[in-house]
Amino acid sequence: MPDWSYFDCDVMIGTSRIPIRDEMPEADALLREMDRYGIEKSLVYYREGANPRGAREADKSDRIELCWVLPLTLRSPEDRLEAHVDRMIEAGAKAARFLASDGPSDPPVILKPFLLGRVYERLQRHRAPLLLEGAPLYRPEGTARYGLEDIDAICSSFPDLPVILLRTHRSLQTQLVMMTRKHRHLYFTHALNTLYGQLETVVKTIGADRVLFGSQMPYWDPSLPIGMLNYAELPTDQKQQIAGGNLQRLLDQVS
Amino acid sequence: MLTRRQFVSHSVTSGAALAWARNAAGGAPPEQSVTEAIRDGEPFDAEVIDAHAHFSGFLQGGKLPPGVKTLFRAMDRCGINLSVFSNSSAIGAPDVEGFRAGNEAAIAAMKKHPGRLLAYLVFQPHFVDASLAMAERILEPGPGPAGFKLHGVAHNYPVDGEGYRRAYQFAHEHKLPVLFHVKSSHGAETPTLRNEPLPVVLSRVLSEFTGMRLIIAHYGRGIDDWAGFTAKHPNAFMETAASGVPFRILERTVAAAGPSRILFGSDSTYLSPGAQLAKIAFADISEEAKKQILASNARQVFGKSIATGKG
Repeated sequence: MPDWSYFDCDVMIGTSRIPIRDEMPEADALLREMDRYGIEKSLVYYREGANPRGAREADKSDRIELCWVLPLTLRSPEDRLEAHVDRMIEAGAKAARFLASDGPSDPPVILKPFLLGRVYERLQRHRAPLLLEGAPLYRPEGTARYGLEDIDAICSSFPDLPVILLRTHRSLQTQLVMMTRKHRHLYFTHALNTLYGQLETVVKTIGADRVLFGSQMPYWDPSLPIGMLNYAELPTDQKQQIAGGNLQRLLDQVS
Repeated sequence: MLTRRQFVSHSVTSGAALAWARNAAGGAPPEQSVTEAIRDGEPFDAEVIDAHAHFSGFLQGGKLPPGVKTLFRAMDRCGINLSVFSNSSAIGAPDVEGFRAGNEAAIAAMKKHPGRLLAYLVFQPHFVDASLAMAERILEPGPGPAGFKLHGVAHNYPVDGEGYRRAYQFAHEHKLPVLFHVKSSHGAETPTLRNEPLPVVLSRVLSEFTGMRLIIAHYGRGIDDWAGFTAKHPNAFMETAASGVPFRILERTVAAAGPSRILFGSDSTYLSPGAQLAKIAFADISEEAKKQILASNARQVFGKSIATGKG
């Protein structure tokens, strides 16, 4: 086995109204896949934001940590979006994400601080990482309505909030490097940095402490980011940071 | 903890370790599975033939140095024995002179490194006469290029256009492999004369030019279209290089088209070869199927063009 161990920050389990191929209905299915790929731990969210179901699945193994899905719409007249962060912390979850929309009838995913500022503030207070899907940053994706300027606004207004961009496309590398230089708590996963030597270039430019491993299983094949890192011309300590050390460090800081 | 490769390396200089290894494994070092190699980030022991490589390419932020050095570095890092490659410069050349020079450089490289490099000639449908003249080099005595590389997206030329038909005819007559980049990750695809779906048009092409062995690059960017196509045509193959692939795509492709119809390709030195090898290594298919995809299918397709075995 290699000297670095993988902690996947971007995994989904569960079933929902719209079936997908090769879904992993529960923890056992995920653990089998983790064994196949040599992934030690996973940060997992449950489909359609079913946090209680996700918590039950995460309780089945200490190799699974729950990523809490935060709502973007009020659940009742008394509801406060930021209150869901408190529930997340009470439930023992240490990271949060919003769900990408499943179809055109879903509400738009808008991340503007004037709408979600209290949520960001509450996450920042706990130092709990916020994971955001990267696909909408370079092409329209369902009802997602956000771009790099929104990420910049969040990171500028909440400089101690760790923000992790998931599966950002390689064509955005220049912009991401510039933004990571500007914002000290901005991170991204390397799943699509697939060009020859690209991962090494990124690490040389911004350091290994800003890059995370995230597979987006069961939508995408985890083997690419794993093979990319295993064969990267990087020292072992940097591989360990990217494979799992950075994510573990961020979760350890949550209070 | 020592990896298997480190252990074997140490054993060479340590009689005791060597004796232990022989005793422990019945006289032979423990066999490394394809999956073990990728987990350790070690070069593969198993034979690997890359059916889709390039020299010259683009590193993020700049162009890679021209020539074969970077390609060899990528191959050695992962244990790729032989790369079937084309010169990116010949694909992108804006004029006939540059196109010829790129292909000539590819031929010179393969002649200088037999057993490690095998060239595809780029067939440029906008330069048909120059492409056909260059194709004659395939027929010269001695080691020569294996077949053609077609890039229908970069050249924006109809798959059923007359220029490409001349390439198919040549490949048919001489039973050559043709690697065809039909679609790109950003959705751009090779046009057709009457806006028919690509698999429909290429089905007609393969039915007409039965001697050509057609390799669909990058899984065709849609295995639902291409796995059935490949299963239907005995001379069709799928090549695996892709920058991002759906979960379990290889398992589905093997189930639909069979393991004998899939060739490993890395698209290095454009893409990272370790990532591409990992797709094969981690797949939930048999070890035998992995070895077919990594090398033995390529030996069937490229036949006599492959001069030597493990380098």
